[in-house]
Amino acid sequence: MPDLRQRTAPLDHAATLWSPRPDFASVTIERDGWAARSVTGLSQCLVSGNLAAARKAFAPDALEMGLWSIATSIPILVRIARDRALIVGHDTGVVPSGWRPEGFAASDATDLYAVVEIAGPAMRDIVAQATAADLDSGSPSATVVFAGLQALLYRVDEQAARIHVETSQATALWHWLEKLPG
Amino acid sequence: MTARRISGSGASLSFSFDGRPLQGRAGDTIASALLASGVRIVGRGFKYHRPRGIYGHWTEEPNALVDVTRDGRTTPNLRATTEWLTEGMIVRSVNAAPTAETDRSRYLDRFARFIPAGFYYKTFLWPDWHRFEPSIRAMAGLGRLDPDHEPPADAAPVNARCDILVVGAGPAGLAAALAASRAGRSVMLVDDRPEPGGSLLWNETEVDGVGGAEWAGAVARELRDRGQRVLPDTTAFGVFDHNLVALWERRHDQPDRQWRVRAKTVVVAAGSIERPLVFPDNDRPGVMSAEAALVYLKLHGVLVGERIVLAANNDRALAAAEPLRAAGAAVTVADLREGPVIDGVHGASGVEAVTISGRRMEADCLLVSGGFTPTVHLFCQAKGRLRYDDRIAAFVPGEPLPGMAVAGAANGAFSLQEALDQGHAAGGGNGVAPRAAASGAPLSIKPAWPRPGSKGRQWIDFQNDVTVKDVELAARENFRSVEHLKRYTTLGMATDQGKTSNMNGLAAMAAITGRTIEATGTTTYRPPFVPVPFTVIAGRRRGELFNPVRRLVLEAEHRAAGAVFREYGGWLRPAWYGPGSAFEATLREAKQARETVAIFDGSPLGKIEVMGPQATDLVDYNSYNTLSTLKPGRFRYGFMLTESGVVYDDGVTARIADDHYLVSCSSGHVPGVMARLEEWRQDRFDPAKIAIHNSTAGLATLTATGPRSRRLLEALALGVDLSDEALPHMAFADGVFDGATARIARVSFTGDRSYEITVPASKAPALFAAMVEAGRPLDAFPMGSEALLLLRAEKGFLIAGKDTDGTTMPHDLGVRGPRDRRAGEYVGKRSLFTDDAMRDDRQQLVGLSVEGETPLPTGAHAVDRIEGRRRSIGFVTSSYWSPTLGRPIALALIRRGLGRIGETIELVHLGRPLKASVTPPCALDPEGARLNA
Repeated sequence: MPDLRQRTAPLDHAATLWSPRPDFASVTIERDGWAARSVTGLSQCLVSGNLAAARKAFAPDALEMGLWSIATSIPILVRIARDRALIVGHDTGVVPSGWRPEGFAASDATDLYAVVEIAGPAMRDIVAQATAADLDSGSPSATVVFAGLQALLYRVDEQAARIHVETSQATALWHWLEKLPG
Repeated sequence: MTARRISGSGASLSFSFDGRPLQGRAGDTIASALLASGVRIVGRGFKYHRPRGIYGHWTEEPNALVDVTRDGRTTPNLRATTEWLTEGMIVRSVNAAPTAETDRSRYLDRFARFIPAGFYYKTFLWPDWHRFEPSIRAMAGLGRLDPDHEPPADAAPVNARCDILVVGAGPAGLAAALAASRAGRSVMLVDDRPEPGGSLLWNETEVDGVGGAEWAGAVARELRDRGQRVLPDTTAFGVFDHNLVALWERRHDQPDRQWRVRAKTVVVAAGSIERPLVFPDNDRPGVMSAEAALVYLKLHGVLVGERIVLAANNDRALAAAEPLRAAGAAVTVADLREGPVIDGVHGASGVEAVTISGRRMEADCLLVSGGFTPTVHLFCQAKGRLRYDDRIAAFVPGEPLPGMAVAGAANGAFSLQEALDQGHAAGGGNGVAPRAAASGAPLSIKPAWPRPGSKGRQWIDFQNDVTVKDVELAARENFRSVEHLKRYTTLGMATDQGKTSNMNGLAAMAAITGRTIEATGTTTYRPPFVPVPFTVIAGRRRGELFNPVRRLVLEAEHRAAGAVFREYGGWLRPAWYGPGSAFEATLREAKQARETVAIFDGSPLGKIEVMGPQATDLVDYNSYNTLSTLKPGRFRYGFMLTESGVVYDDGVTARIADDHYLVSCSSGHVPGVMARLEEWRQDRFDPAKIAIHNSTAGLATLTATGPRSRRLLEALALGVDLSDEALPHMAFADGVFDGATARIARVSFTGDRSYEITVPASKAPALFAAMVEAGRPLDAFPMGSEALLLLRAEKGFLIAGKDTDGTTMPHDLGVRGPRDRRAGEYVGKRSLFTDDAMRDDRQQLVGLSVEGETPLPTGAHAVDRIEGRRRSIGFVTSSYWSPTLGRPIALALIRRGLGRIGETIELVHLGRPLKASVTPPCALDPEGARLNA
């Protein structure tokens, strides 16, 4: 066989450019005024269609959360669009995906979204770098672009924000946080 | 010019300029330190290399551009008037060698008549402009870039909101901020200087009974005490839609910040900029702005000359005479409102004498003022229109804009009380505005615009070396509008963006063309107001934060297994594993995959759930192939077309239940397919009856492919009947892995027996480990994407976008059934019947085989000849060395390809001729026996 090896490897900078995906089970960031951690163990279910029926089926006590709302307990229904929401913290077990006769579709999303919490007095300054959304005015939808990524943003406390991003983009969010100065 | 320091104190700082060691002090700008050291020549003109000195005091400075080295790193083209001096700074002039004072290229000025504006449009054309270009650019550049200076990505962008954003902390801005704050509004006040006050800092004034500077400090303190944001050293450099204002905050011991502020109201209190007078040799070092002389005296304790001539056409500038005399200079005042005219300046390296109306006066400094131009930039960026007020010889804001107010000198209000009143009103103030001690009269000015046809060289744009004669030349060449004048002469295009030259330039053109100044108008105002460092604009999103790739849940496992990663479809995926080159590893994996069993991470492949009573209708409409006849538990392969009938993507769709489908697609096309499904869901069907969920990231898919793949699945014991009767090719069944549903699908991209196991992403690490363990006795191994791309090519399986282009339709790929027979509507259907779609010479996907061992170059064009001329009839889309077949294989799009099977065709690549035979796309196992082997 002839020597057909490539003389150059222009694509292989990819190997050194991207730093490794963190172990989300254990990583934390501790800084002056804020800390970040990955929140594990939260059940999540994506529902579309008749949201009232979906809530009734999975989490009748769920409080509805919009942008920057404070969730004082779970379960919660995080509003995404007029006819879409993410139910978080329900205890009905893994939801099989599919259409329900009450008029909604459900897909288990426990592994679809990673959840990152940023907490501390400086949390608001961090969030101000990540999104231009008008937090004080809020919005019925918790969807924002956060650090360049599609995300859901609400709070669990005055000084603790929760961000849901697709699992495949959680690494990008974490690196953005890690590289914050200070 | 004998500029020198006469007062004040501060820690002494050492620095150098053009190699000369000098002393400045804390609080100096580079410019004030140079003046204090008596440095006269700080640079050379852009084209003619005439000596230039410091003209102004702040952002309007056109001459004193310098390269600054701090801590071993050099930043080019900084303005000496806005850079603060630090210990050990190395400052170099630009566009001059070896120094500004002894520039070698100063002889260029003798050839000035051959290099007027636009000379490069007419000269140096033969034989080839490019031969002259490098030398001309080298002689006419500015600073030098330091390739080692890579600033870190640490300038954080911050988003903020407020009721009122006040730009400028001079009297008008302070009054506005104070009024708004006391009225209970949230206020942001920004000023590009380190202390608030603006013109209050260098004029003798009193506001509300205290000195102007003291009042400014008190206002700033009150604002801060009330929790308002006061940002010094901050420039508002651009206004964007819906009152979004961009700020550049300079910080000394920390990285700069970019603020993006959305304000309900923006108050532009940005002051005004003094413009020069235009007369012969007005560019000599020692000719300075009168206001600048006052600023250097008051802020830096520097007296700019001993024997000063102060020539001005307005009373505001003439008022500088007294403070300069009190500081010890002999000042001769020429009030140009009364008729005198500056005939010229004498002294080639700097002012030695000035002749006014025939009378020659010895002087070491000529201070000039042609009037004040309101700084209306932000108003105009917001699309505000200007009107010309000839009482003050200035363009001022015309019709107000909603959400924006302009106050003070920026609004043409030059007296202190007017500025305070306007600011107070703009801030929505109740009660009475702050009171200035002197009531102040409006500006008294007699316009002194450039006179075309005068003799001598009279400079309008110092930085780009544009004279009145150049404006006359532009008019003669019929570039008479201000926008054409700008681009033909480059007047106003330098880093100072015409702050001191635009008005004089347009007034000159007005006089030449016999129009009024108002009719001539201004050029378009665009951000940024001052040059803003790229680091500030780019923020932190660089390197891997710039366009982050998606990550596999199994990334750590792949790294541990020795994966080398590449980017595919926006994901970071293993390209191959283990040592060796890409070529060696890929061949090894591809060969072994057909012998034992390969484990492949296929998680990024799209998994889009379409659910609901109308899911079937949507899925059918979206697909070229009918899917409604698919039975639950089965897959079907097909295409998705654009409305133009072009293949957008290919993939398999699974039917999970009557009202539940899983649409798969290329990993890079997931957002596109989601968007198109969503569009049709909303436009054509009842959104209440369909839901589309993108579950791609929540599910992991691991594929076992190869002759031993079934044995691997059996060892995993997932609780599924793996016989070919129960689970034939293109079917799926649900089993269990570690308490979670594991869907096992028999789909093959390699052409060998394959099983794709899909589990919730959190189960992926355990599944991968189980597969590796179970695969040990079977010589199982992890396989990367490069090998997979090779294996599928052996089977003639296409990659959308690689083996198809923007014209490829499904029948070009040999799939004619739906076009010929499918009755219902689907996306792109009607486009398949256009004349172009029905041509008989379309490019069709075929295989190519060659003699010898060298694969064809991907992208090589197949050619034929028409009357001796070569033309392309297609190109190679995929090409590999096949380890299984022991020969090269290729796929190509060739005109009439499917009708040429068996023919030999010619190809060309980079001038080399090649030959190949046309074959069916599938080179290996066309009967598909390996699927069930």
